[in-house]
Amino acid sequence: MTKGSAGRLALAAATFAAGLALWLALARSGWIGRTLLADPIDVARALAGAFDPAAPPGARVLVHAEATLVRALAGWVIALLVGMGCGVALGARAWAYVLGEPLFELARAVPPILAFPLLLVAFDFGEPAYVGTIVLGCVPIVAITVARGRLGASRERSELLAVFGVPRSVRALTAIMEVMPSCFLAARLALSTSLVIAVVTEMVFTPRSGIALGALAKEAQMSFETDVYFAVVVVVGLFGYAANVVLRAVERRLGLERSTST
Amino acid sequence: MAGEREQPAEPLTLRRVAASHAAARVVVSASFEVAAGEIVGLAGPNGCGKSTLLRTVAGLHPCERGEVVLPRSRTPAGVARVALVPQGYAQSFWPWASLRSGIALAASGSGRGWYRSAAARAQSLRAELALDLDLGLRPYQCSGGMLQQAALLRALAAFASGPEVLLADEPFSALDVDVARRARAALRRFVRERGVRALVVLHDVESLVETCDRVLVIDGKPWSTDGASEGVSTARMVLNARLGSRRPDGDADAAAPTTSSFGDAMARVLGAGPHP
Repeated sequence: MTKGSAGRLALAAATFAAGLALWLALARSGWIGRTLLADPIDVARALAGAFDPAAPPGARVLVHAEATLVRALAGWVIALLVGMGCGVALGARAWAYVLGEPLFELARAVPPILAFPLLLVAFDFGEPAYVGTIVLGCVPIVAITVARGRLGASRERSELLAVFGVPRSVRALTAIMEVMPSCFLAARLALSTSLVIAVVTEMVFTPRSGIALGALAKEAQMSFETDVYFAVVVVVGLFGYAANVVLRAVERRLGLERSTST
Repeated sequence: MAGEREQPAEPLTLRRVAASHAAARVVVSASFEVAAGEIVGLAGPNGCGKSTLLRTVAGLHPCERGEVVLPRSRTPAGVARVALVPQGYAQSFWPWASLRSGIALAASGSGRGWYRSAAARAQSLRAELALDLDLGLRPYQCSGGMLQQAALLRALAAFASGPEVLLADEPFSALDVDVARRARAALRRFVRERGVRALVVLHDVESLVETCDRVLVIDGKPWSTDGASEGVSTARMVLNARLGSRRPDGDADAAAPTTSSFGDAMARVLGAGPHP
């Protein structure tokens, strides 16, 4: 681990610790009632209960989390594949972008949750409705981000390879690398969006299995189990943060992080 | 020894080349040759079409009329090895690759083992050119001057026996005085020894005098080396100055006629006399 990355890690840990201390202080101060703000110790207990094998599956937060994350990740992967394909095609030529961009911008402006009831009916209230809503919400984000990245790829570099007579295979590889930074940016944007949509759709309509973070949060809210509600918030937040850190680390490893700074 | 190799005799030839920039014709008719081992400089005011002409020769810009004839190559493909030092040198390196890898990428068309051999060539040329450059750095870790040195190094190291045609757009603009002097001397030596035809856009007089065998001083736009030809009566003249009197290794020679103030001024500064 380099000195810089160790320093970043220490700062991140300090920020988390400060946030936790503030939360604890607010919860214990009594300024905000327990029905609105759970005590972090109670939340930790609720999370610890997730590892209790004696507890029924429905009572374990992590069982719900697994189901929700699988839905979110499935939608995210499909959206990435579809969105990147659309984005690369859209960014290939300026006229293609001019033609296609309004369509994708329009789709991005429409809240995907509006399509959820239709998809529920179309897919007989099954899992594809949840995944499909995530895909609909993420594809425009990915497509537009990747298309802009492709349009903004360095002309100097592609021209240089043409002048030097570099083989097509190498030129194709460098073209892929040129668009990779925008793919990573799109992946990070879409990941947080997919988590949001997954939880919201589960809150709107509980999946048949009944196993879903959104459904658990809704139940906890209605029965004033604030500690469970906050446990859901913590799990979603931690997963989103961890996934972002992993994607950034891969980006750094590939040397793509500084791609727009030169 | 590179200097002992048989020099291919064919020049880089431009015949009545016409090119436009932003829908305006800037080069009406450019006809000249660049011989093997010769460096021809293009000088002139901003926007007169120097870079446009260079890009046209590189095949990056449409040649609207006339033709650019590259010398025949002794490579199996028969295609002349053309190397470019672009004006946008800072953007011409890949952020995810070290300078060494960026140089090697440009060499990937030169057969098996291209990466290792190009990296080795870059390393040895770096020493030969006395460039103070760490090839393991990424572009964002480099200054503009370092990137410009790397761009020059890439152009010279991309092919096993050097490029046959070298096109460079202001290749010394970001270098400090000492490095620029070393780079100019090294470029001259390289071009001479390996019979490269070099067409170089330069702005400052010192670079022109120290680098070029011959300079085309362009007097404005649109311009033509053939005078007011091709039905364009407003075409500006071009001073074709062969440098020599001020150059330690050059021959004193003459210049083609010109009438313009810029051309005259450049001729005076360059010490090139009028055509006899």
